[in-house]
Amino acid sequence: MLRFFLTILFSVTAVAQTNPLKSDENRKLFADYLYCQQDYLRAAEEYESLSKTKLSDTILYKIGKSYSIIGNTDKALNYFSSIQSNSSLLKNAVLEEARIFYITEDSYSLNKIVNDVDTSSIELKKILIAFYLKTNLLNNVNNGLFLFNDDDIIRLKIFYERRKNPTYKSEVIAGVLSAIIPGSGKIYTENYGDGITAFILTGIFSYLAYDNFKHPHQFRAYLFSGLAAGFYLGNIYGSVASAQIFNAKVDFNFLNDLTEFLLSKNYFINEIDFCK
Amino acid sequence: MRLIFVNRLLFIILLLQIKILSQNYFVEQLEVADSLFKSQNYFDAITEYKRLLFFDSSNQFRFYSNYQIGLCYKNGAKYSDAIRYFVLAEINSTNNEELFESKIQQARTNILRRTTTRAEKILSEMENDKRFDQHKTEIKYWRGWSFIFSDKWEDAHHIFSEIGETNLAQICLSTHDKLYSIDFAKYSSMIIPGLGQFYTGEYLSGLLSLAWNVFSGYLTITAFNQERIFDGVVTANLLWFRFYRGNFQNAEKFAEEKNIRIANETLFYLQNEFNGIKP
Repeated sequence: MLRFFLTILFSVTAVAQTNPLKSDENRKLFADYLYCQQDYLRAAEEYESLSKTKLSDTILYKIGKSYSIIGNTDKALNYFSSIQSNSSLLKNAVLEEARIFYITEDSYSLNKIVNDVDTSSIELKKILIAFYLKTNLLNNVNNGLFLFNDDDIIRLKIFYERRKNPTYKSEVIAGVLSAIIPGSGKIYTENYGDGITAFILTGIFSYLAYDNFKHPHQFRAYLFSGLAAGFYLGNIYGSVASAQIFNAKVDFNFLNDLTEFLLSKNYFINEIDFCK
Repeated sequence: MRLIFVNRLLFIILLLQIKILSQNYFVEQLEVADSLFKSQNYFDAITEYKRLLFFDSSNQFRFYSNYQIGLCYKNGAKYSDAIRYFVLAEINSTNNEELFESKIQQARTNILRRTTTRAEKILSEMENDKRFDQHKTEIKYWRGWSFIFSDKWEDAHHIFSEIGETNLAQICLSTHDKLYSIDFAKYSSMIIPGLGQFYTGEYLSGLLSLAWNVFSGYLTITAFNQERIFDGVVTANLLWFRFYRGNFQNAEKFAEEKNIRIANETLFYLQNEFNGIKP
C-alpha cells in the first residue's frame, strides 16, 4: 500500500515539473479555441509550437489558413504546400494557394498550378479565367477554359464580354464635343450637371463680352472675355478629364463586381468548418 | 481499523496535493503572463492570459485576466478590443472595487479613442451610482480629461479647479485663452471682408480677400450705376458673392485650423511633459 502511495505521489510530483497547460494536447485545444475565436495569429503560433509529430494535415491546413487570412501569404503558401499528396485536404490547399496567387497576381505560379499540379480541376480553371479577366489578359482566355457550362462559367462569360467590350467614352470625342458646344463633352460622359452649368456659364460670359464690346465698356468686355475663354478652355480640358474618370470608373466597377462575385463564391473553395 | 483510517488519510492528502498542484499551475501561468505584461510584451501576455482564461474552469482568474488583456490591448492602442475585455472584466467582477476599476478603464479607453460622448455617459452612470461614492473625485478627474479630448477646455478648467487639480486647471485655462473664436472670425469677415483672416494672423490672405471683394463689388456697383442691370446681376452672383462667401468660409477655416494646432500643442505637452495620471 505504501509502495503504491509513494508511486502515485512521485508521479504527481514528476508531472508537477512541467506545466500541463502547455502540453501538446492542451496547446492543440487552446489553438483550436483561438482559431474559432478568429484570433488567427495566436492560433497559428500555438499550432506551430506543437511537436512535429503532432502536425497533422488538418493542423498544417489550419496554420496555412490562419496565415492566409491575416495576409502572411509566404507562410500560408509554405504550409499549404506541405500537405501530403494523399490528404483529403489537398484539393482545398491547392485552391487556397490559387487564391493567394490570384490576389498577389502571381501569373506564373497560378498557371503552374492549373497546368501542372491539378489539370482536371474545374475550380482552378475558374480562378484562372477570373485572373485573366482581372489582369485584362483576354487573349489567354481561350475556348478550352470555357469548356464547362455551369452557373459560374456563365457568370464568368458575362464578365468576359464586359471586359472585352467596355463602355468606355472617347477622350477625343469628349474634347471635340465641348469645343463645338461647351458642356456637350461633359454630357457625353454622363456628367449632366457639370455639362449644363458649363454651357450656361460660357454662354452668359460670351454674351456679356460681346454686348460690352458692342457698347463701349472696354474693361468689362475684356473681363467677361477672359472669363468666357477660361470657362471654354477649362470645359474642354474638363471634358477630357471627365472621360478619363468615366473610363477609370468602368474598370473600377468591373473589378469590384468581379471581386464581389469571387467572394460570394469563396473563390470556388468549399470552406471546411472546423468550429462546428 | 487503524489501517483503514491511515489509508483514507493518505488518500485525502493525495487528492489535496493534486488539487493544490492544479492551482499552482494556474498561479504559475498567471506569473508568466504578468511577467510578460511587465516587460511590455503585450502580444504574448495576451496569449498567456487567454490560455489561463481557457483552462481556468473555476473562473478564479476571470476578472483579472480579462482586465489585464484589456490593459494589454489599451497599451497596444487597440482601443475597441480593450473596451471589449474591460466589459468582460466588468461582467466578471466580484466586488465594487473590481467593478469600479473595469468601468473607469472603459471610460479612460473611450477618452483615448476620442469617443468622449460614450466616456461621459459611463462617467455619469458611475457618478450616479451610490457604490462609487468614495470615488467621486476620481470620476470628476476623468471627466475633466474627457472634456480635454472633446476640446471643452473651459469645462475642463472648471472641473479640475473643483477637485483641486490646479496644474491641469491652469493648463486648460491657458489653452482656452489661446483659442480663437470661430464665430468672431466668421462674422467679422462678413462685416469687413478679410477681418477674420487678420484676427487669425493670416494677413496676406486677409488683404487678398479684401482686395477681391472691393474689386468685384466695384464692378457690380459700376454696372448698376451704368444701368447695365444684367451685367450687374451676373457680376454680383458669379464674382462678388463668390469672393464674399469664400472670404468668410476661409476665415472660419483658419480659426478652426489654428485651434486644432493650439489643442494639439497642449495635448503633446500633456503626453510628454505632464507627470500626473493620464487616460
